[in-house]
Amino acid sequence: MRIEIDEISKQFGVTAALHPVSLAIPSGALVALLGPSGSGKTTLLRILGGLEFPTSGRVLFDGQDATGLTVQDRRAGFVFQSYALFRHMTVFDNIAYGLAARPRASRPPKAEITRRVTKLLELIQLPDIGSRFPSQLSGGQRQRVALARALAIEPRMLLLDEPFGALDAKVRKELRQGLRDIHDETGLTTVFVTHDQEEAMELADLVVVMSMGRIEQIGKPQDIRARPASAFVQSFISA
Amino acid sequence: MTDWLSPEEWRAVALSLRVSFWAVLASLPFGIFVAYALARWRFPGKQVLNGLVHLPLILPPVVTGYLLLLTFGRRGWAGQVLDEWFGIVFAFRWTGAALAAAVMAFPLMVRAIRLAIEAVDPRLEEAAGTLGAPRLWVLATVTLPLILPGIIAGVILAFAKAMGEFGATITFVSNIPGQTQTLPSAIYSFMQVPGGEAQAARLVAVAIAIAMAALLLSEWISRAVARRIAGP
Ligand SMILES: Nc1ncnc2c1ncn2[C@@H]1O[C@H](COP(=O)(O)OP(=O)(O)O)[C@@H](O)[C@H]1O
Ligand SMILES: [Mg+2]
Repeated sequence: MRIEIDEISKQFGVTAALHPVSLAIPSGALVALLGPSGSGKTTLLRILGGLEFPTSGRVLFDGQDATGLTVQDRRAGFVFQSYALFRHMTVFDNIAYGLAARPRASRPPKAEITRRVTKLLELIQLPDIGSRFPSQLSGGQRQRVALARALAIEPRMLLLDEPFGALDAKVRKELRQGLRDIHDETGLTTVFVTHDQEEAMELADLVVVMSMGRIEQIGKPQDIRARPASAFVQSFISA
Repeated sequence: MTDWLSPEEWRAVALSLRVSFWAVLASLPFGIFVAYALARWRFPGKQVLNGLVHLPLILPPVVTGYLLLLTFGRRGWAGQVLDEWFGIVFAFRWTGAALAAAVMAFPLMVRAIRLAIEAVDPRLEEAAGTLGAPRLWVLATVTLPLILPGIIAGVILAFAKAMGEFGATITFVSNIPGQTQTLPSAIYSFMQVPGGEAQAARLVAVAIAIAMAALLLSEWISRAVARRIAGP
């Protein structure tokens, strides 16, 4: 799905988390929001997911105004920074959550839910952990379960906040490839937040560099490397 | 097994249990709602609500009882409305004792539940929302299971407080044997008459036993629940 961000701003009391920013994300792209802490990346992602509403401006999905759409109606698969798994439920129930929460009329039958969860567990290459609880998983496994849970609702887009933030270097590398594979397999428009320029450059088709609530530059990784648009971008990507 | 307490004493014990049970049960939905609002929502008048909820904790119980009488008594505005519309009467009935106990125990209940809600990461509820779950479903499947230990703690605390409530109850609904004479009022009455010390002492023993049982039960339940929520 094509996403357009049209002159979005966000004010938290007196702090301006986002000055009016605009951005067009082509359907099926894998986009990184890159910037230092406090630059407004999470705020922008949460506005896309319907978890926060802009002070001004519009969000368009496939050309349709989605600015006022509730979080439930967005159908955006969201992976939180700390994964936000339900610790009182098994991995299976976590992944099944979005399907089981549907109104009776559109809820798939039990067997169908089981089939889909099993398939997702295979997709994240953890076929045997359905009966475990989140507390029994490693960080990398939790991240993949969070991803599977978001994919279970057949989302229209995938939004990930620092998906590799809390992991050690080796696991990060593996999971980067994992996200790339899942993106290529599902073809979902995917936006992820990171403060790691190497991660953004390696993984994304399109990198959006942010600083202090503004977008500094939008471009392909090689273009940003070759022609940084500002002194900030220059210093940030060479850091 | 029943003959070591006189019928009159039994009535007081049974009435206290009934009053406390209904006081806690009826106020629990409000307690969860108010705790949730105080923990999660921002709205004008939040501090006023917070103050009102906690008022019975700091006011002399006699004052709370007097205010209840003014409001929910036969001539109080709320008392008249409830009587005319729903046929509910509080004045000098056991229901009034339950109302007084509920009001006095409410701050303790709200506090325990509120602390539990504040300990739940709001991102869990947000995550459930992104998965398409309506808010009530999120409440039932995510928030409530996670705060269950807090709810149980609040319920037991409120129950214990309701069992012991004296000042507001006696001011609001008086001390009528079989009607509004709860365990503490009965102890008080026995102590006023010569030779009533033995009766008073027996009821004191019952009060201690009930309090201990409530404490042990809450300990046991919250452990069991904590185990279940954390997973094996
Ligand atoms: N809920 C909030 N209330 C107040 N200020 C906030 C809130 N969320 C974010 N901010 C502020 O907005 C700015 C951008 O935050 P954020 O989007 O989280 O940045 P990033 O994800 O790039 O680190 C920061 O100054 C932050 O303090
Ligand atoms: Mg952030």
